[in-house]
Amino acid sequence: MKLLVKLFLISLTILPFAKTTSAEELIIWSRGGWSDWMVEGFNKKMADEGKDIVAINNLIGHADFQVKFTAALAAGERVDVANIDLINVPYYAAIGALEDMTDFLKSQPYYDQLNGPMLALGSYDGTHFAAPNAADVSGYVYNKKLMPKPPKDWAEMTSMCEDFAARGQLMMAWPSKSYGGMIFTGMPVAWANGGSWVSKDGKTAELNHPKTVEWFKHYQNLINIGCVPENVDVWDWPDKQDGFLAGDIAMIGTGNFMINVVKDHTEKVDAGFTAFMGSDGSRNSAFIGGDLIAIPVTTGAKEAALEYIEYVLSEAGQIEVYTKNGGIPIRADLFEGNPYLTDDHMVFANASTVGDVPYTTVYQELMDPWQVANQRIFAGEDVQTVLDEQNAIMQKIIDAGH
Amino acid sequence: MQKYKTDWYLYYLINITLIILVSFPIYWAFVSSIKPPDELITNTPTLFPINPTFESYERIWNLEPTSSRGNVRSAFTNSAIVSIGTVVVSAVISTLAAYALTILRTPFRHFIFLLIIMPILIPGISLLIPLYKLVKELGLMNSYLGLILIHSTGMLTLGVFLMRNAFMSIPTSLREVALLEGSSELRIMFTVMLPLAIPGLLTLMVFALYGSWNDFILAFLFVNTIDMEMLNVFLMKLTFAGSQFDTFWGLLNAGAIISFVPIIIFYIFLQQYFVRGVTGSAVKE
Amino acid sequence: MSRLRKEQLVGLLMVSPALILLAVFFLYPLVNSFYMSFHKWPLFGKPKWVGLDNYIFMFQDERFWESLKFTFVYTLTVTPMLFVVAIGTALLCNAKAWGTTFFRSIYFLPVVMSFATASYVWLWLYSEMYGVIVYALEFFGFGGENKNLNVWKTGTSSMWAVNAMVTWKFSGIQMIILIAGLQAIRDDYYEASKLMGASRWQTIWNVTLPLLRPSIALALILSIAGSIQAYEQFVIMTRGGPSNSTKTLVMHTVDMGFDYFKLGPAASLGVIIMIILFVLTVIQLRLFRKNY
Repeated sequence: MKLLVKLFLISLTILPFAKTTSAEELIIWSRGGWSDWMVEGFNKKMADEGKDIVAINNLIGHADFQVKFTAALAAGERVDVANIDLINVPYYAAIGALEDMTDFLKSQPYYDQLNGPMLALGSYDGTHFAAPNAADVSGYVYNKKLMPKPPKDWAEMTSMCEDFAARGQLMMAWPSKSYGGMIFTGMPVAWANGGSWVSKDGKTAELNHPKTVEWFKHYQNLINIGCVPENVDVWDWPDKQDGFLAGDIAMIGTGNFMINVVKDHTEKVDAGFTAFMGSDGSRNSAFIGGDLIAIPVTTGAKEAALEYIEYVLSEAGQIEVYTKNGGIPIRADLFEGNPYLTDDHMVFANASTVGDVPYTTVYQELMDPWQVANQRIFAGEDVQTVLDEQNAIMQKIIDAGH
Repeated sequence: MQKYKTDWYLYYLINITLIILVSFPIYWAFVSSIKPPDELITNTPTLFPINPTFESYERIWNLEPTSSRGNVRSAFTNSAIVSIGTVVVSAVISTLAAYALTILRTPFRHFIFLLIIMPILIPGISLLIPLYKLVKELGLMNSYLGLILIHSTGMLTLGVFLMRNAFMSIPTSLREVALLEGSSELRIMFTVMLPLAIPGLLTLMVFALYGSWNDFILAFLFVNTIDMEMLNVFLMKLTFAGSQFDTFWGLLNAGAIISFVPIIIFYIFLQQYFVRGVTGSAVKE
Repeated sequence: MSRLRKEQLVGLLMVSPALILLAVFFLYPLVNSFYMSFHKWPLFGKPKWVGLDNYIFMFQDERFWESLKFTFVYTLTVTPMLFVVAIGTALLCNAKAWGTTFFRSIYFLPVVMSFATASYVWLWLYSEMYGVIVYALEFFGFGGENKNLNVWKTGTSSMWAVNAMVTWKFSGIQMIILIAGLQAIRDDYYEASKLMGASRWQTIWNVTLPLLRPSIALALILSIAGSIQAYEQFVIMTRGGPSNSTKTLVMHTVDMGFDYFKLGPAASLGVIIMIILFVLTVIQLRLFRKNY
């Protein structure tokens, strides 16, 4: 027992030791593992230039970023640079959580080349609160061993589906259970068809847009033909990704990160990539996901933070760090002559110039009726009825505000 | 107690079936962690891996620290310090409180006991925002102490409950005798009563270890520096190498096994005290 | 100082560390959260007193009632499952037979695995195309012809699938509580029952269970408190679907606070959960009052 008391006393003395460094610290919160390379590259640059700034990368991850960032903001925790899931930025911008960076962005020579929808998502009332940072662009991946050529429009997709069904094979699957997965890989197909989710200003729900209805009917039809798993209404992201990697499903919606994933599965998968297309195949689209980079108002080093953001957006950051590790640059002027952009990457890079991402301050709350709409429709309910009902719920949430 | 004489084979049949059912998921997590990808994702899963590979474990073990995460050894050490700290602190505090509430005529003891029971009625997650503010203001961010104290608070209900049962089963005459000999209360507790309450204490320790070792959310919220990174947060970071839509079943399963093994070992050593720990029937057996 | 006085003082000193911890890390956030529930609480800026608005908002919200209903259904189904398995294994482990300690250790084993890990492991087991449970079920002919089994197909099947995991994971704790209770029952009761010619089942029903009442009460209170607070298993395994049919109260609370940033209503939900649990616990204590 004496030992226990001693241990207790010892444990009380284990207090945090404050770090004593002379350099200015820059605290960066990020969601993805690639941020490591960015921060290391930046620190090296600072050292080379003899500047006394050291960036510290605090990797929060994707899943619980919101929880921690919300608690931290409410408590006034110091964060100098935050890489935020872009869909949540309109909310943070609207409540005044982020520093104005309009002047900084507008003074950059590549301002016009920055990804438009991403830039728009980071602005509120004409002020820029966040810059594009890292893009996750969606598109189809198909297995050439099962499908030598991808369909070029919906009619061809339907007839191919009939062939697959006749052979008893699965052609497609999607993750109805994952609302994020569906808006990432489902909604762009509707956009390519001219459909809509919410209006540009985020004030009107447009889930029952006729062109969106058309897309849902098209996918529902594929299920009825029988080339889609019958339980697709409850499939999650890993279900269909595993199915594809095991060589059981010919084509799925995915993102540019898949280019790296398939490398481990060459035995069963010979992957090709293609953009989401509308019904006549004339238009493409994609969901431009990923991170925006912003300076929270709780920052203690705004100048250093801008320096970091400048590095992230520079050629060194975008090409030698980000593209090199499999990302799609967020500057259109860096597509051409970029040594790391393969043909596969270019599918996504091109899609990113015509893609979209919805602007709304209540995105997370809208995910609820959106998920229900997906699951009900893919379980076989009437498309128009479901979309009218769920659209009304979405409108109610938008009207209630954040 | 019941005896199974004529139908003993039925008894063992039921038990063995149950054992297989109960241990299968754990076995499957382990097997999945050593299967190569093409054996993992397949329509015809095999009970044993054909080409077992420890690649996931090697990958986790050999990872060099980056700018955003440490390595498995430092994370393991941090988790061990917090867990052992929690075990010690909650053992001491719960024992003292339970002794005061059961053996001594402490004023308001019924009310205090109710207060200590209260936390099981509230989902901890709904207190996170005020708690975050508090931890920050107390300067307990990035510290072992902060995590240890919060975990120990969380353990109070069960800890006091277990120790209360343990003390209640000890005949009060033992304490009376010691008091007549002139021993102090603290001395009596440590030398006379506590040795008889060891099963309860050890059970408490297993639960304290379980709670702190398996914690994710507190370690995730209240640690921002790499040198203080806890094991479960480290393992989470591994699975975020790429996009948010990526899944790594192999790494996931290997991580699950890595975090499971230490607590299993601890449990195997202490499990024999478990039942007596809950009843506190140290004297009877 | 009289002996009583001294004892009281020592008692207060001994309980004070626990009280301090409780006050700082539990009561303070709790009071704060209670205070928040009466305010419009933005992430930044001044909170505004709104009286009962958050509660009214919450009660008018369909999502609240749906999640409340599901939480009750889940609690009502998982509690008997846990209890039946726990009492069964407890009786098996309390027999005079070789190997009981070993059996007991194995039955308790899943308890020490982290809840999140257990959820992921079972999600993998349940996978429609590559999971071993569905494979086994189809192997034994439960799939039917050309029909794939997916446990997440309906809200009801999802709930039973989660219940199975929770039973596997937590029945061990209840088993230990019940074994402890069983061991406190003196052998004479069984002898008497045997002399009266009772069968094994009759003995369990007429002798064991009534005497076990305090332990059963404890097991049920813990199980119900845990089930009303169900969160992690559903977040990981069902994501509240299909079509929101498996969304629990705590899940709704977390969504409200951390996803919708509505901190006031989220705080009021926390208070409501506490009141529900308090009422349920008091009712149970009343029901089991005899012998308790």
